[in-house]
Amino acid sequence: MSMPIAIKDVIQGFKNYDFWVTFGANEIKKKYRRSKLGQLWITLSVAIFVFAIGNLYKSLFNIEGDFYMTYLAVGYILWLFISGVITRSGTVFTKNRSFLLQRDWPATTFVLWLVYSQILTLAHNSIILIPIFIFWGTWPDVTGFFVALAGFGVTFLTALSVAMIIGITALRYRDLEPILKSLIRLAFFATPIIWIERDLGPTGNLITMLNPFGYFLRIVRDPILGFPINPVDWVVAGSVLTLCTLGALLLLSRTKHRLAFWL
Amino acid sequence: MALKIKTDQLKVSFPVISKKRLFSKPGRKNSASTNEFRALDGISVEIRDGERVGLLGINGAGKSTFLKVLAGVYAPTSGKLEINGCITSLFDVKVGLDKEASGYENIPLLMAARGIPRSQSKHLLDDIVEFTELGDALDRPIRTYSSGMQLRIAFAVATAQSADILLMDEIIGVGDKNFRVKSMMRTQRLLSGSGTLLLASHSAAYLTEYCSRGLIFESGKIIADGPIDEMIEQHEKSK
Repeated sequence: MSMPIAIKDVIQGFKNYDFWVTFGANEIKKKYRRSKLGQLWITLSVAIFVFAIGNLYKSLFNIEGDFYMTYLAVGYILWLFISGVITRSGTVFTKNRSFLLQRDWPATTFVLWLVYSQILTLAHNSIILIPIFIFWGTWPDVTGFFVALAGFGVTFLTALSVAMIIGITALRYRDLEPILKSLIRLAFFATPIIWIERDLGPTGNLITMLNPFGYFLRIVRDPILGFPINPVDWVVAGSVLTLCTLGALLLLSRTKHRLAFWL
Repeated sequence: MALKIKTDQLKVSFPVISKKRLFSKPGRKNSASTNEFRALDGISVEIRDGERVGLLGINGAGKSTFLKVLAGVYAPTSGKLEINGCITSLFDVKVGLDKEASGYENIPLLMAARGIPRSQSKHLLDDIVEFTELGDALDRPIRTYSSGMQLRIAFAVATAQSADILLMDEIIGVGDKNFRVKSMMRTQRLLSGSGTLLLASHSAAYLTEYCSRGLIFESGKIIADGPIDEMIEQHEKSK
């Protein structure tokens, strides 16, 4: 089995645009079809979290300056995206079993559906940034905004590859999904979302260095906050992206013809 | 007549993945061969343009697996498979239905699920709505429909586009009499004379209605091939 199989799958997956856009949007609609506030609930629940935790920890940690609310909101929204993709990718193929048993589907289509619906959620959540920017006066400058957008592009592509790797592996080894679910909860506390990276001591610094999520958070969050850009973050994030993409393509090309049998 | 489907010694084995002990006792290791199940065991068949083929056989004989291999769901484990044409499969037409959404909202979902491009959806819509005969009910959520009504809308979308090679797996046996007659007519129109049909069914009535040639499956092999009437008779006798 060689790489072209995987590349063809990815291209066809993107070409199935109609499918994953329709079903991705429907997934959001589905959750709130019978509720009064509808999609607003997605935004509201995040707003409540950020407001409550933000005010609490701002005084607990004695954080001065106006940046903390923005820091927390951006970090938390991004974390919801990352953790949403990772926890859901464990069931990306089993959940769509009935589709996969109808015809020859590109595996990428279902990964795109998953990531796209998470991006829609992220877009809903991002609305809360506007009042925060206004209230705390933390509007990002134009350059910062575009650098953050590029950072999110890297995060998005990595999410696609990681979802493919987890999706295939968890389809074959069903124990992976529950393991990931419990690990991701721990990862939340080990990632600089609520806390700020300063004076952490040797253990703290080691965790920050080893935690891959932190790098992806920083390449998006730092430019929004106007912090200086650290090239190390970009190099590490770029390397993770390259490795995961190669890994995903290799895994897909080796398992593509077996996926339906494992359903 | 052009060859539409050709298979040569086609075999398909399913891996049987089950819970294994993390620490198995030495000497009780499962051999690889016991963890596989052979669903198709050397199928060699040729199907030509415009043929209407019925697949007979008891449950587990390999009919559905054969159709799923043709549809591209399962890759052959060994042997040759050659398909000249575009495959449309009607296995589970209800895939993609959202029970909370209305009938009208479900039509684009079903179309996306069946890979009908959005550019086509406009001119197919009238035809689909007309076939369902659901009228005002299309504004209601699907969960308020009976299963027959749900089938109508799903079948209408699944059969909206003409097909080159049509694979059907026991889906037409549901619905009221009116629906059965209509679905039969619609399927014929869909095939529009030159299309090829493969139909797996347990109903002798459907098989005679739709098909001219029959294939009898038994434990993953084709044991008989001939005119549908003779095949039905042979299959009945062996039961």
